[in-house]
Amino acid sequence: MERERVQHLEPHDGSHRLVEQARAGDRDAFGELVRIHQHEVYTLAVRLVHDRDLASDVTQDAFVRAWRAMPNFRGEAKFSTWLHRITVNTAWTHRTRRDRVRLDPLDSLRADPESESLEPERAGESVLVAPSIEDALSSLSVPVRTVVVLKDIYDWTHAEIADHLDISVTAAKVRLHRGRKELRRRLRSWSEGSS
Amino acid sequence: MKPRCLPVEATLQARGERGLTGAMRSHATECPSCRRSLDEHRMMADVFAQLAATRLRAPAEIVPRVLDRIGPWAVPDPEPRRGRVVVAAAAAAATAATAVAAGTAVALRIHRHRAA
Repeated sequence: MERERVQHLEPHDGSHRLVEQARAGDRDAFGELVRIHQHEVYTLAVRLVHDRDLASDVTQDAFVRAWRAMPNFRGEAKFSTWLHRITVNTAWTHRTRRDRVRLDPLDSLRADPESESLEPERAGESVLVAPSIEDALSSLSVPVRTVVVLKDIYDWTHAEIADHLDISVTAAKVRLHRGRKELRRRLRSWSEGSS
Repeated sequence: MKPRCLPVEATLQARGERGLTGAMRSHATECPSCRRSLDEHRMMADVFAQLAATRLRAPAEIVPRVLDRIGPWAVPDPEPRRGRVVVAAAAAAATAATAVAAGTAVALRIHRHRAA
């Protein structure tokens, strides 16, 4: 999915000094980084695992892993991008552990005040479509959903997705195609039902 | 679906709206099926853009819990690791030396046995 009209809300990533201090073992600096990036990481975790409690665990674990890996962070990628990668790995690990448990993820997203958006301003028809897309996303299988989320929401390349999920680029493309097709099918039935 | 619809659909899937050529675009304005595909594509792009720009509020306990779990010594000190590597290398060398010595002793014993 292309990105016309997309404005990525990168969190304040001008945290170079904090990152340097955290790399040197400064726990307070790392705490500040957690404060800055927590919402971003949590949002990604929710989208990947579709369960608020699990996403909270994933977020905590991702930050703990990041702390342990701080000496290895060389700054080739932005800190937030690096955190995203750790979050994806962590979510994958958690999800695999709890894979047999079928969750009803949207219940925890819809009614929970904790899940309220930090940027609630939305306009136009897509506002109405968004819950429908969230529904549709949750109905996708975890491997397919993960690819759709990373590609269409987080703008990862096929190569990055393939590398991270340990699949081929072709498999990533196939999953994306399958996921988008299903989303469009749902979107179509939603718009036909609402007209 | 007409033959001219296939490239439109394939291009939308692979490269998005920006990948459409002029001919594809003009076909999409005339063909109801392609117009619908294009409309759905735009709507999904818009929704994904909204999702990308939206962040959820993380539960308040995340920061304190993370800070509880990380200690001041969580960052590994490279020195002990280097020390462990040296110890492991020394152990490997000692094992190899022992194996060579044992092999030599066995060979000597066989040689003496044959000589006798």
